[in-house]
Parts: sequence; C-alpha cells; structure tokens
Amino acid sequence: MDQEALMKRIRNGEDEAFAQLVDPLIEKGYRTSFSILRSKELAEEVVQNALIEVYRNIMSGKDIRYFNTWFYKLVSHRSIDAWRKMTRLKESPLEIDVGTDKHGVMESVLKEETENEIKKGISSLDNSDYRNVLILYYYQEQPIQEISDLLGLKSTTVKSHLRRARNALKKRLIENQFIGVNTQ
Amino acid sequence: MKIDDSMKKEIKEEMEKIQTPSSLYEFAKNIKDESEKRAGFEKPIGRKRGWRKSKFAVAAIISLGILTGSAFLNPTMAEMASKIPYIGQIFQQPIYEVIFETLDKEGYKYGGIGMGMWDGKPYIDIELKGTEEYVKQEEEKVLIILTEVLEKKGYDNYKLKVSDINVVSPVNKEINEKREELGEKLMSDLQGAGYTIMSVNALSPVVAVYIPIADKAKEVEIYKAAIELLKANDTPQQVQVIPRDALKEELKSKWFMVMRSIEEELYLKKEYQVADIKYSYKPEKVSITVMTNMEPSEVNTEETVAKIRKEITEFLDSEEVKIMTENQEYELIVQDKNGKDFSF
Repeated sequence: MDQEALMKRIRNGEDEAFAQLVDPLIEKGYRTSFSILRSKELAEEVVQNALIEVYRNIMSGKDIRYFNTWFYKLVSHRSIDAWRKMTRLKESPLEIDVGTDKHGVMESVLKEETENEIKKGISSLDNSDYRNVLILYYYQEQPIQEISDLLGLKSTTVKSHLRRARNALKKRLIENQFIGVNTQ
Repeated sequence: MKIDDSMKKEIKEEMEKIQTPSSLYEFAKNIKDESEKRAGFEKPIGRKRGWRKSKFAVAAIISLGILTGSAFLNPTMAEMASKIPYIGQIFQQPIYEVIFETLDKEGYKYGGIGMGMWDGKPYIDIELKGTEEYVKQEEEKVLIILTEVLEKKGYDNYKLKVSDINVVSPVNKEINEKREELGEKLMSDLQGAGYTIMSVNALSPVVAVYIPIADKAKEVEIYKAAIELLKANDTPQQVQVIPRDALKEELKSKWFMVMRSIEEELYLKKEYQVADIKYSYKPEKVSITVMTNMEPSEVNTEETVAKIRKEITEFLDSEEVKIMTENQEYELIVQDKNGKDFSF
C-alpha cells in the first residue's frame, strides 16, 4: 500500500497503519541517530520523539510529499539537536573506539585526520562534525547544502571534510592493496 | 569502483553492525497512546526539554499533580494516595513526598521535583526557590541530605540535581499562563459550538483536545473547528484531537498509584536493571511489561528476574492492592535487553 493511503488510514484512526508506514524506516533512522549520538538510550529517545512528531504531523493534516526523505531528515535534525545538547552538557563524551585493531572507515579517517592535525600543530578539526558529515552525506544521502545548514558549517567546510575523507580512504585502499601484493 | 561508492559501501557495512532495538517497533505500534501520554504531560519549555518523557517521568508529574490539584486526574486519587501500600517493606511513601518532607524539615523552599530518564538513568531534579547564588551555595548540603535519604530507602540508581527555579520561572510562568488561557478559551469555544469536550491541554506545542470515544466520528470536524477558532483568535497552533475511552481511563486511574509504586522501586535500584516499563490496559486484563538491560546468559539474570517477578506479584496480590484494582486480572512479562520474554 502506498504511503499516501497509509497516512489517510492513520488519520481515519487506524493506528496499525502507522506501524506499517514507519517500520521499514526505523532501522535506518535509528542507525543514523546512534552513529551521531553514540548512545543507545539517546538514539532510542530521539527516534521515539521523531515518531511522535511524525504521528502528530500526520494527524494534523500536514501535506507530506516524500515521506522517506522527510522522515530521515527529521531524525537527522533531531539527532543533531540532541548531539549539540549532549556536547554542551558534556555528560556523555563521544567515544571513539581506538582500542581495536580493525577500524571502520569513519574511525580510521578520523584518526588519520586527527594525526595530521597534530603533526601540523593545529587542532581545528572537530571530529564529531567530521563524522556527522560522512553519515549524512554517504548514509543519509543528503545534499551538501542541507548538511551545511543542519550542522551550521560552511558548504566549503562540508566539501573539504568530504574531500579529505575520500583522500584518506584512497590512501588506505592503496596501502591495503600494497600489503596484499607483498604478502602473496 | 569509484571512491564515493567505496566510501558509501564501507559506511553502510559499518552501519549494518548497529542493532535496532525492537522496542522501537513496539513504540510505533502503540503510537497513539505514546503520543497522548506526551501531549498531556509534557513540560512545554525549560531545561528538562531533553529528558526522556518516560512513564516514570509522567508518573512523577502526575503524582505532583495529585498534590496540586491537577485537572488531569480523577478527584478521588488524592484520597487514594494516602491509602496506597507500597511495594516491598522498605518504603512507605512515594519518594517525592519523602524529599518534600525532608526539605520542609530543613527549612528549604522548593518549586517542585522533576523526575525523568536521562541517558538511561533515573534523574531527580530538585528545584529550590531562591537566587542563583543562594541555590549554588546550598546545593552541596541539599545533595548530601537527600542522598542520605535515598540511600536509607535502598535506592542506588539515580542522578540527583539541584537547580534554582527563579532563573526560568518568570518566562515559564508567563508562557504557561498564556497557554492555559488559550486552552480554557478553546475548550469553552468548542463547547459553545456544541461539542462535548473532556479537556483541552495547550501546554505543549501541539494543543491536545480530548473528546469522548463515542464522538470519534466527529474527530475531523472538531479538529477543523479548533483550527478555525485558534486562527480567529490569532493564535494558530497545531491541534491533535484525541478520543478517550472512559473505561480505559478509569482503569488507568485505578492502577495509577500501583504502577507508580512499582516504577519507583524498580527504576531506582540498580540490581533490577530496568530499562523501561510498559502497560496495556484492557478490561479483561492489565498487562505489565518490564524491559530490562539483562541478557539471558548473564550470571545473575535468572535470579534477578525471579526477584522482579516475586516483588511485583506479591505486591499486586496483596489484599490492599487487590481492593484497589478490584481484583483485576493482570499479566506480568519480563523481557531481556533485546525485547524477548525471559523463559524463566
């Protein structure tokens, strides 16, 4: 059933239509939120609040054209809001897992960039901003302009984060290939 | 493969390792109840905006409401509040009352207590009246006194905070007053237009209009009328019309103090490792689901689950509680951290 029809059913009081509408989107929404907040509890709370917001918007008759895009954008916004609040409170510092041997791409790119910054003697790079840019661009597939609005960064900064991430990945891929050749 | 595609692929693989809690799907299933709950009791502004509005928080706010004559509650509840037995032998009174009494004894003036969940932990915020300097100066002393009180009750799972009420209260007060006026006006306007309205809550950004479930067919009509009235008064707002099932509400009222008592005991003690408690109220059966942070394979899980069951069952089967719930049938479900029912 299409999303329009589901929204209509929700407005008619068929609550089960709400689960049908949002269930396919919850996983990606939660993963985005968790990656930004690095806290299960906070991410769950953010997604819960977003679901309520969605429900109320539907019930109040809001015209929602591209539901999936709208939902993911809402979750991203609320996650960034919570993340801002969290970093302000400094109650739950961001954890970057440096203890394991195998880093995911975001962590390795972050690590590399941080090391570069340290080498250069500057510490301007905000790791969390960096991580959020990558999640929003590559996982949520949001346009650069929207990411820059959402994070309050200049679009040139967003582009430069992306460029540096690509370069870091390229470097890593080449290194891996090199190691691969040598070990054979 | 292009570098962008590789990046996308790697990030996607990383993301796929993140497990989505099943409770979110449950939440979506119960969206109407969840939304109603928050529409009714959310604090509109202020420092606690980021708090998780769990039932625990709701319960605390309702509990305070009992004392201050909140419009949301059945009037007999205040009387009930003084008669209710509490879970376990340890505590005799709800914790907010104990805190109020202690503060009274020590000569402090307070505005209220906020209770909620923050980052998975119960959070108790005591709002003291006085200047910022005064509250800062007294903060440590108050924390020491209250920590001792909570410890005596056997509670070891909470964050305690003292804040001053003067900093935000003038703004809060003004906005709340305006919103209350708006709610009252909308209610009388809608009643004037011939609709049966149970109550209107304009304290949260979305104005909630409660109607009897018998009038569900008029939901859209009332919604439109409310929007028009708000527009005509130059106070456009989002509106949600919520049909309320009087029977279910009555059932909830009957169980409210019982649930509050269970929540306080389970949330404020580390040993139970409780993440959330959910209810479903049906005339044939009330269902209580205790969601924990435990894995079935962990060493003490079985013992802890048994303890949770014993505490709740003994409490619910006590004569006093049975009188209160009118011997209502109930079921108790205890779940692991992945939302699966424990088999033991």
